[in-house]
Amino acid sequence: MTPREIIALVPLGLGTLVLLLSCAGLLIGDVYDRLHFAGPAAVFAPWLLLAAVAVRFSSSEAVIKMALLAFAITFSGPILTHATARMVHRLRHEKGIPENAAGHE
Amino acid sequence: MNPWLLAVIALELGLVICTLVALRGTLPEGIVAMEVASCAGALAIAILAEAVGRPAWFDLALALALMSLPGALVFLTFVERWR
Repeated sequence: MTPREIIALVPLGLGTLVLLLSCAGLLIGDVYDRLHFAGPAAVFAPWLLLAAVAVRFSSSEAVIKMALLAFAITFSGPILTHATARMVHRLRHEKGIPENAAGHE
Repeated sequence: MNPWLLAVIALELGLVICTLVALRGTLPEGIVAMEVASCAGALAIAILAEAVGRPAWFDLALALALMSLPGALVFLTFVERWR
């Protein structure tokens, strides 16, 4: 392994760890608590993995596409979080559907 | 083993957790799990593309990331309107 590939393992490990912890966070609390864990997965992990791909630099095509991917995920994450929280709020407080009944017919 | 492939396996483990949450939780919890899973899935495909040296596979990850936003928004709108 070249030094460049060894350095790339640091952001790769960090990005993977952030994503794994975000997924593990989905097991905790109610839906609002779980929404918090969607944040790091959409904001931190893509850029850490982009850093890993950029440091390794196997091809410029890979770096450019990974940058587009990171931008797309970071752009969509907060929008989806907000839309989901709004949907849950409306289901609970405007339509009066309790949390336990919100999922199963 | 290639460390990039190990990272892909770790991300797939995250997808398994998201699947369990979506299967066992309520509808809003499942939607949150779906959103995290789309993010983790796109990044897993991207890291797999880097691991095996096929930059063309990044297009698949990019398509998944770009389509997950309107897909989830449409799903949320339908749930909000007809639930």
